[in-house]
Amino acid sequence: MNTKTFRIKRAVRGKNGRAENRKLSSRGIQTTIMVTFTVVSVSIMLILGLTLYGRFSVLYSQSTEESTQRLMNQTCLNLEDHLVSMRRISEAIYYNVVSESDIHDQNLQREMYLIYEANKDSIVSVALYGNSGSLISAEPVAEQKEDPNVTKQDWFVQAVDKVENLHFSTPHIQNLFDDATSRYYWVISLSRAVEITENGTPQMGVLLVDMNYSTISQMLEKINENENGQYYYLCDSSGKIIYHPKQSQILSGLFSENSKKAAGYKDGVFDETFEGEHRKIVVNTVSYTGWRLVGVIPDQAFTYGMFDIRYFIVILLLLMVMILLFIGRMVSIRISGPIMKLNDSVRAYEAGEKPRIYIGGSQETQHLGYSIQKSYEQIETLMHEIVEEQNTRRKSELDALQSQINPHFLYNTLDSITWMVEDKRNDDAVFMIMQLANLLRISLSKGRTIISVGDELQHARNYMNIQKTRYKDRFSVTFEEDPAIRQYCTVKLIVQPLLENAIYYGTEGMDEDGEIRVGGRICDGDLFISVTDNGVGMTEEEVNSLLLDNGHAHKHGSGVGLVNVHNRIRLLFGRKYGLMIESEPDEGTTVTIHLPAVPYTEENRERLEKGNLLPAGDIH
Amino acid sequence: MKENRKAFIILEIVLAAAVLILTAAMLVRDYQKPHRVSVILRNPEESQWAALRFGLKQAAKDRNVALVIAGTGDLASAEDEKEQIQEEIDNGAKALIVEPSPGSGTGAMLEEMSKKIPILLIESKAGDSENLSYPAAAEADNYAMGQAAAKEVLKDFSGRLDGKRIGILSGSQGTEAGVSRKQGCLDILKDSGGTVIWTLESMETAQNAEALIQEKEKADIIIALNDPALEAAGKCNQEGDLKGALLYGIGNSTETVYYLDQDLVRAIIAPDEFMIGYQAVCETAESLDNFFRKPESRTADYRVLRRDTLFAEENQQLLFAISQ
Repeated sequence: MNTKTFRIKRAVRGKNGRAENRKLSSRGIQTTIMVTFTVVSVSIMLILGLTLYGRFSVLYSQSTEESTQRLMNQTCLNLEDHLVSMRRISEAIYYNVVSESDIHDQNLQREMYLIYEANKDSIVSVALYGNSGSLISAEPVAEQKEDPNVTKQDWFVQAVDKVENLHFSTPHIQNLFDDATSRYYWVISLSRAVEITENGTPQMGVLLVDMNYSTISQMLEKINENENGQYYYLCDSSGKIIYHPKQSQILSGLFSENSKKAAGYKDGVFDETFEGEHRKIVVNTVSYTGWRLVGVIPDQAFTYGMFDIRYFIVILLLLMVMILLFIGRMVSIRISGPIMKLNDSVRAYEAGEKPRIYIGGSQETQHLGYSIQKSYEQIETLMHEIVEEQNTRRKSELDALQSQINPHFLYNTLDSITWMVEDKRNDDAVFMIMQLANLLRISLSKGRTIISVGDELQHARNYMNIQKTRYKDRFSVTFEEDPAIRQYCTVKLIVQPLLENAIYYGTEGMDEDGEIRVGGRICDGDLFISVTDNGVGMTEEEVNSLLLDNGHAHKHGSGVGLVNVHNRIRLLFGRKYGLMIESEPDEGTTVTIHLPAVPYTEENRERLEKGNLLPAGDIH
Repeated sequence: MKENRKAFIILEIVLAAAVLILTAAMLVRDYQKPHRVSVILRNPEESQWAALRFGLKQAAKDRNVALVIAGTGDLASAEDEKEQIQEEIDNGAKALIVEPSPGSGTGAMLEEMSKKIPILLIESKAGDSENLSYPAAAEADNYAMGQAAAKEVLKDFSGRLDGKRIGILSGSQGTEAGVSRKQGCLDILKDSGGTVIWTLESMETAQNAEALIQEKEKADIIIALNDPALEAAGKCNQEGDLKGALLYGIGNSTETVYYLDQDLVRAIIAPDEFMIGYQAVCETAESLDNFFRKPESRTADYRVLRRDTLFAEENQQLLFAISQ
């Protein structure tokens, strides 16, 4: 095996290696590290983000509920303060004015005026009515409408029904006095039954304080400035709306409120679903009135507040993923870089290059690189040794094949010379000795295996001259080679065995003289040397068996069979070359030597001697 | 290696783009201003528009709309109104709610302007809107209100007005709403046996209106078909200048309610101005939220007010709105 063969094997192994690498490249070490790192980091970030978001949501909900409750408590206190002040106005008028004066007393009007003036920002009017609904006194002084039907108005009915209580009405348009400015007042009436004195006679009357609705509505409007959907409304104990930010929409049927249910709740926080929307309801009861201040926190209010936090968390997560990807890539490059360099150098080696195996990176990678380098060096050494060994063995084999010529032929030739000397045929003996000397000179050829075709044919001529003398010219030989072929390379001693076969198998036993023709030509860049006899020929089976190296000795000849010649040519020039045999029984046989046409130069000879096959491009 | 690097760079770019988009979206959301919607009304501060203004404001609050109420003179022409609309557009209005000016050419002008910006008419269609499909209008059923006013008269006279002389204060000045109301009223009166002895179309100012009414021939029944007309007639009645005529009409101001309360007006047909205003803003906001949606016409209800039921529970909302 030569170096080229070894390279071919490495290339084959390289192909398998590449297939393996393709499999590896789909899940390269860098990708694996990066993906693993990123997936783990992103998962942790996601879990962290979701946990944080969940925690924020809970805290935000709790905070919203608590702030709603605080705000409602404060508003309730404000409302109660306002209502208490209204009660005090009513009580002041009753206990300090009405119960102390006769209804015809001028003092009654004056005292009522003073109280009204002191509180006119929050009250629309104060009025004292008799049991039959007749107006006794009113502030501000105004003309009563023609027939306001006082006794049928709710505030009057309630006051008369439950004389011991103060009654707060729901908001309504005041329908008592004639206001020439065409104004109508939206009021909440505080009414109570009072004992009045007319000309010393106690009677039942009704004291009415009409509170300005706008005082309460402004108080509640202030807390209804949220944009998140949260709102507060006020209703009485039966659920009738007193204030609602969408009061007109409710009255117009554009909006609805679950106030009746809310009025049934005790104070606290409740969950409810109203018109398909889940919401939290915070209820506070306003003292003295039984009114309910209701805070409504729809789910939308929680999500509204969380909207920015959601955005923020998503942006934070994306940024963290970006950074983690970057860190992951850096870490994976740091870890996998030396391994990939090592891998690249191994791949280059497998592809037939001879790079230096990468030794670097971490201690483990360095050790790995060092081990691979050492292994490859050892493999190279071993391969070189194997090639050397193979070359030596091949040369020994060639030498052994060539050495088979000598004993048989020498014995026969010297035997012939002996006979010639004994017969006093000295000239013939001299000729024979000269031919033999020449033959031996070429046979030896200073130990070379490769000689020129000219020398080889000269060797063949010498041989035939000896044989013709021995066989007493029982056959004729003709050399018809193209003179151009003489300066090409050939393995030595390959024509002579063919001639020997032609003599023994071709002409022996023939009645007439045998004819042997030696030809030579170059055709399509190859060299062909043929030996043709007109002997007995062979059958096709015999021809086919001739080149089979089955170890059977041939019964005639020098012992160097066609098989030997065939093997020698193929060993040196490759399996493409060798012998070709054509034969017809009783017609003759042609054996053709097929060789590459390698010009006989010292350089080519040396390369062939070393066993290097010459590519076509290298032949010059 | 190269493919990994390419994928890494693409991923980083995509993530960076997502961060930028989200940040921009967050900032845009924080600084997003509500749509500005301008309302063009004739004499917007008059008390007849109190409920309308209240409805407009409530809807603007509910729909997060920046509402601007702009006024025109008493007798704006189509040309004046066009200038006013252009001025509002120049001031940044994204949509307009317009009370169409009386007279011809208004419809064509509004249709032309509505190609620039969503426009919804209020209170009335354009005078020549029969041949126009757009702009739409938010209004009460004017024809039905005209009919209702006449029916209230008939109720007080057991369904027959034989021998009664009727004066009609249309005050329409050629608006489509005025024409419809008058037509509705006349359609009911035509078989009632009564005779419409005069009709007063144009009343430029309150003083002018009162003078014009006083000049008219004595009628048994006067029907005022819009709020200024009813208010002017109510005032005349208060001063004893209606010569004993019974007054009916369409009105939506505290003044007309006051005259009803004082028994100077027998019945009022009160359009739900709160609902008209509310629906107008909602409709406009819808068209602003949805680029492909044009404002559509909306019709509000009306109420019949009589003195004895004026302060009844069912009328409290109406009184609440007009007393804002």
